[in-house]
Amino acid sequence: MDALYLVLQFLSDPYHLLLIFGGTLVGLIVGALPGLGSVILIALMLPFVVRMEPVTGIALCAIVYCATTYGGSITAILINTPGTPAAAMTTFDGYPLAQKGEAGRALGIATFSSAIGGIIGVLIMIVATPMLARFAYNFGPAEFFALAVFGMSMLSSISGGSMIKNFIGGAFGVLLATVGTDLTTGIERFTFGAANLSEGLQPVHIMIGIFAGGELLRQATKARLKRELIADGVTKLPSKEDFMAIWRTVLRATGIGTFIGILPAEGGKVAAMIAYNEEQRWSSNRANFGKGAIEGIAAPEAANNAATGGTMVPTLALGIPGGGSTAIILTAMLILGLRPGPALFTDQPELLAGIFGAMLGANLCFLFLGMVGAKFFSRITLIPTTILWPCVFCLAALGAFSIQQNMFDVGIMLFFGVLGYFMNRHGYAPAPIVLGLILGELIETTFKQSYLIYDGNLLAILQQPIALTFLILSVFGICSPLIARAMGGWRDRKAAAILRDSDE
Amino acid sequence: MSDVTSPGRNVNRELLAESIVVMVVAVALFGVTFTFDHVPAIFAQGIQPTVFPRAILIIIFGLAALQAWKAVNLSSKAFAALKPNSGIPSVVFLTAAALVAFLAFMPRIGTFPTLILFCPALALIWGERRWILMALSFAGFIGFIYLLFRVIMNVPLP
Repeated sequence: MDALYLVLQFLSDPYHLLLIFGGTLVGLIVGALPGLGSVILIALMLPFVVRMEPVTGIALCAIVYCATTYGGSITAILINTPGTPAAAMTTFDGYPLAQKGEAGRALGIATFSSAIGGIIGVLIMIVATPMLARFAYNFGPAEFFALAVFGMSMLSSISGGSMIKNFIGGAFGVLLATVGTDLTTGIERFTFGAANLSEGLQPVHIMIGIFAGGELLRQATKARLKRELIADGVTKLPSKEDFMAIWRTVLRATGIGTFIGILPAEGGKVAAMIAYNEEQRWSSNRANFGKGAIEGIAAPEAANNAATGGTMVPTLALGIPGGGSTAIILTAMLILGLRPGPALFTDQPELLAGIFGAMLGANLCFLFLGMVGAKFFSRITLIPTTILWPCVFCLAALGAFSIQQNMFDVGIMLFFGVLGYFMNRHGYAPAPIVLGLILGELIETTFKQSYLIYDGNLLAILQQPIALTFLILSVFGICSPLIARAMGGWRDRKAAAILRDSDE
Repeated sequence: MSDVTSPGRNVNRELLAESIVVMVVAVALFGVTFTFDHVPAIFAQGIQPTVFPRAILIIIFGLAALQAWKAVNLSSKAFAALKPNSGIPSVVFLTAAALVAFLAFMPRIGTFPTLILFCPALALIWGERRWILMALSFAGFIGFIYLLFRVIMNVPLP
């Protein structure tokens, strides 16, 4: 009841309502711009967020996270270009439906499903986060070490790329976290004599560089692409028939989205993909998937918005980011002196109420803005890349400079921008690097603490039941794509044999 | 670019080269760890500052070696599905050069002159020729930057 009171108190403050409205508006605009998304927006906002009151700053990050996730669907439906990766599945049925002259209906289904998925996801987050935090109350270094390893093991399936490349990227991120003075011994590592590196690499600069800088170089090759709206986006509320057709889909996809979101390192993109595939499997309307089926819009939209609440659960309760955006939110929390974990619930209840309230408010706000403003947001996509991206880079560079008023930081940002471009080009996605960077310090610290506690016998970690469970889950996490591939191969062979038999 | 290097063996040369680069970097950084100062055991609490980075570098080397092994042992099906990676367009290099110029100019000629030069220059590199659109958009943006960083945040920009 106290938590509910704090949430209502947060939402009753006019300043917070203005923050929700402004943050949602910015999030929708940025979400509608292909190439930009929640990760880049929150990374660009970091230099400003760290100057704000902790509750306001983190709440603002949570608001734009929700709004950009939904904003991506507008362009997915109207110009066949997902504004965010999480909206990629929405193009499969959203665009065909819009081509049939039913763009308003497609936008209405997307808006309604996103809001319902998002609100249920936040409600589950409100219940699940304290429960998970209570469970983590008795965690020691061994458990946190195993938990961080579990988080890293999820890289096997993140970003949809090569498993080995994801792990190399993650390990590279962990290595970056070792740059600077070792806190145990006071010895400088990988500083190459540069005084600016003795305090280590600031995750903010790496994130701004790797996401915004890398994307700028990628956009350079797409600058001449012309985008055309196929219809003016006037959103229509779902009819009673549409509502009856999709309510089961929305609930199913919300469940999938929340669960996938809670898993460390997974996010909205994976949630939308799984929800779409599952819906295609279970729907009686599966023959129309890919041709404008409304279930094919509702499922990914409900799932990716539900995942926003889900990804916040491990981030707040354990300090293990649920995805790229939450990794940056976690960084902002650490810079503001907030340590996620069980203590957060007793020490900072108003912060958690602020995050819960902000996300709830953002979902309601984009339901309203999506209904009345889709026409405006769809026009935003027509801003030329040649004008937009020079501005994005300048904002990123000045944001990186403003944190410590140091040109060296701008250089670091630029270096990681170029590196991020080349790594991405060769299949090394930025998300694993960022996850490794965030978890690196936790892994090293808990590794050392465990070493000391168990007197050098690291096998003693396996005698801790919770740590052992996490390590077993890690092995399963690493092996799961291999098992899935083997199962897929077996299924394909079986299907081929059945087809052959039926031919004969 | 992918190629067959010997009869009966499918090799993804690009992936192989990539793996070798990663292994070389891992070995070089492993070598750098030998330049770290040594700490007396009593202060190191059992773990020298080199232990953790070396463990990570060994993991990176092992993963890259595994990737190299996969690159030289491709199945015929995977080899047939390989698509040659197109070269990097010159606009990417020009963009990167513009970013480096931004970094070099900002402390020397100041933030706002750099912005006035950089924004239209990058737009031109990317093929934009609508001068009025550029002038209005970038003037508005630079005004916004002044308001945000100088007036609101009071950041002492160079």
